[in-house]
Amino acid sequence: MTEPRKDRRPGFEEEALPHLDAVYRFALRLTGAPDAAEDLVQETFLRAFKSWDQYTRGTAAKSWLFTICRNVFLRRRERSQRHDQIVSESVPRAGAWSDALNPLWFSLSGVDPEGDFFDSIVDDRILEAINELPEEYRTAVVLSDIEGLPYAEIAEMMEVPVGTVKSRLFRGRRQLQRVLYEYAVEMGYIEARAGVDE
Amino acid sequence: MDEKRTLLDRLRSLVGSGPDEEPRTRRAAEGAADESAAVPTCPSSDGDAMLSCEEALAKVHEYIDGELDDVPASQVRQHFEQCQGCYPHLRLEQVFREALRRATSGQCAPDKLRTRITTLIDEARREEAAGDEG
Repeated sequence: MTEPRKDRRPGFEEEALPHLDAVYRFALRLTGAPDAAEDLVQETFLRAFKSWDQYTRGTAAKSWLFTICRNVFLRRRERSQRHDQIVSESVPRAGAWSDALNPLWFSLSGVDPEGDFFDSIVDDRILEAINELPEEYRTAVVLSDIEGLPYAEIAEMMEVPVGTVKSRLFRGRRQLQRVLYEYAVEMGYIEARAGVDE
Repeated sequence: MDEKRTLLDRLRSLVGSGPDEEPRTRRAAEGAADESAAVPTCPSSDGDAMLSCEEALAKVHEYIDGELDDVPASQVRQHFEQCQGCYPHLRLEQVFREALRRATSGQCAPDKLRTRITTLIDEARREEAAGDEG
């Protein structure tokens, strides 16, 4: 039959679907489990499709999808459990000189200045370490360091000022670095150095 | 312009040292327990173009993330290229990010998920079209 090709969601497949892998990766980091991630991604794309008219063509489709994905995740989590990990959010201090000097790098600079020990760490251990971060830090780190989103887009997504994004990145990265370093020491990939464990 | 005090002033006020002090080595020594070999020291950071160690280190994340707003990237890069003490602080930070990307790079959406989503969207389109007609 002749279909009245009235497309109320033009361009959805072309603009949204290319980000499926990225959204899936993000969902995996949020949920920590493939089944839950698939479910979350499916819900994300269906919602995105239904609200496609609210999306401005040509703008950052990826972070728009990430926003939906995270909102769905947070709402579900809220419904299922009431114990939110409260992240203490003091004044962002990232950028202060004393903070800029990473004590870990400081100690490593004499032992492994090129960071070769990172190559020895298996991917699964890295993923596990990311998953252990509080959600606020995890989302910031994943979006910035893995997906390469600009601070401003992450801030908009998470509905916080850019300074808070920087502070979350700072804390999330430091926590991850410490966990990975300790693991590398434990596995004998790197020589433990006195003073790192203060 | 006014609210943008010089970076150095801001840093100094953050670490609580007076504007006349030279905070570099003192803060460096405090920043980590295991020190001497790696205390960042620059040949000379008095030249107007060369950033000091504290200025460069304070910008390391924004430099890597391409988010510098008040210092040209070339100046930050120059510092890390020329300062042996600071170099590992940039390099390790970069290698860390590379490790995160490497660990997640192989993770792609399963084909069955892709298929399921396209099917569901096709269905939704069809339903909508049917609704429009009826």
